[in-house]
Amino acid sequence: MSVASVPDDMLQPGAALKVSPAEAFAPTPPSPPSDATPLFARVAAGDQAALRALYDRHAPQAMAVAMRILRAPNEAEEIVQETFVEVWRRAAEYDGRRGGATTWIVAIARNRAIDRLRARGTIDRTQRAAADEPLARTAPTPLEDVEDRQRRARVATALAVLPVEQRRCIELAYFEGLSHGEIAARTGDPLGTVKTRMRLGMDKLAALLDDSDGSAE
Amino acid sequence: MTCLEFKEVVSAYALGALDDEERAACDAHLAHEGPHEGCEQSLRRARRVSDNLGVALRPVTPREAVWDTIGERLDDAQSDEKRPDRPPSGRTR
Repeated sequence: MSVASVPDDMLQPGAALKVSPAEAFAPTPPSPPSDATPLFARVAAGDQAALRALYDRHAPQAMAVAMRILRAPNEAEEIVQETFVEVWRRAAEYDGRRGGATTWIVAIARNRAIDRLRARGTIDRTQRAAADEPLARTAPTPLEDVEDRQRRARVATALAVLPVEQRRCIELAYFEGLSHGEIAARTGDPLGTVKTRMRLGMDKLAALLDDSDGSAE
Repeated sequence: MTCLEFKEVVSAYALGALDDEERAACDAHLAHEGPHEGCEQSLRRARRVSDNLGVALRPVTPREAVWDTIGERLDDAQSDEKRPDRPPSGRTR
């Protein structure tokens, strides 16, 4: 029985980049009507086919995040199951004005995966040193659209620009749910240094993403 | 907490990297009527970055059996709802 392969580590410099930086940062055309609100409304009304449509479109990204956090395909698949059962229950809460479907669903998957990681215990979370392991490649899914690919390329390119120490702080917070203090314990760096690196890294990412889509606030 | 102090930690707040005490201080600051010095704007910007981190990974298609299990769980939940002695709110995760 085969299980899904592990995704690229997006933070391996250049690992996810199939486009040039100039291409990655090119302004995207106005978003096509990707508002999934009608689909969520159907799910809220009990339409399993609508949930399947959301699943086909977004499960691969939820799976990627769960895999990156848990590093265990079977557990990641359980997270995907739990995520879409939660989507089924909470579909009426989806508000397309507050963010896209991918963001909403990935946030559910991430929260559940982090909860599971935390349940493994503090020692496992703070001592595992696998964050920089090279991961196997996997092909994009057929349903992935151009918009998703461009978005991923923009973020991956922006991450690749960051100093490795800043990137690692952000990675440990997002993918392992570690606090400032826990990151300092993991890396052996002073707490103040960790705080500064995270702030500088996030500020730089925000600026790069602003530049890439012209939506600076 | 001042607006300046909030903006110093807003990235960590958006990433969920604050300890409980720091997070509570941020929550209280945001709940305060203000006036604020761009706190909501800073938070939106940090959340936008945080929200994008998960989509930077290459997608991984789950095995088809994953959907099958989801379908079974939904069918079970719907069956439970139809039973007169099992209110819909009885569903659990």
